[in-house]
Amino acid sequence: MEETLKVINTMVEKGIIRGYAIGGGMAAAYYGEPTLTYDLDLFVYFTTEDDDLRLLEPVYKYLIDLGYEAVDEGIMIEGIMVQFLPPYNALIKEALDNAVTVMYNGTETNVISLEHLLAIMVQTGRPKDKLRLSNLLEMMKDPDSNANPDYNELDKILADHDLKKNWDDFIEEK
Amino acid sequence: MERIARAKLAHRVKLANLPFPEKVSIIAELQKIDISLAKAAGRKPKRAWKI
Repeated sequence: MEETLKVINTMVEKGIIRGYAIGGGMAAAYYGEPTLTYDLDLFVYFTTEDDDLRLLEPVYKYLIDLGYEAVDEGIMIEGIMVQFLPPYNALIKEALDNAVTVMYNGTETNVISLEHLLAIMVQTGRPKDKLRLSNLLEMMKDPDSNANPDYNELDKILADHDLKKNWDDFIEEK
Repeated sequence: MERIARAKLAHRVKLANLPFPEKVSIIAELQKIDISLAKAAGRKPKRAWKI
């Protein structure tokens, strides 16, 4: 994983991508319990703003030239399946802009903030996101847990992206 | 019952507070279990990470 992150950081240094942040199941694992996932989802600022497929061209070309293998919807980098995802809405863009820098052993990386992660999970509403959200909410009950969001910030994000009702509905369902 | 629930949560919080690399190692172990289950059930397994 550390080698994977080094490759991705080099892509930023070389201008193949402009920036990235870990999202999805790996971000959920960063803040909460590790749960099964097969993908390292990266929200990425690409170098062009063309349509989706062309966005990925320089990324895939760079990585395939280095000998990495494209598999299904991702690319296997140093043993880890990585998916490069464009910031497809305003919430994801904001999450990318506000990602937190963390260390993975000796390597810097970026993870979307816990508050944005919670909001994205409510927005997507997929069963797996609901399950991860439910797990994180359990962790948030314990003040010793790493999963301690800034509730004012979370409220602001939910309000800004019109997600308060979704959040309240989820809490009620739970 | 409440004591068991508290103990369970404490255990989960311990997992949640592990360093990031240790969590990734656990995810890789979970993948191995999932792949074994998939094979046993005759499903096509996904590719495990090599970390």
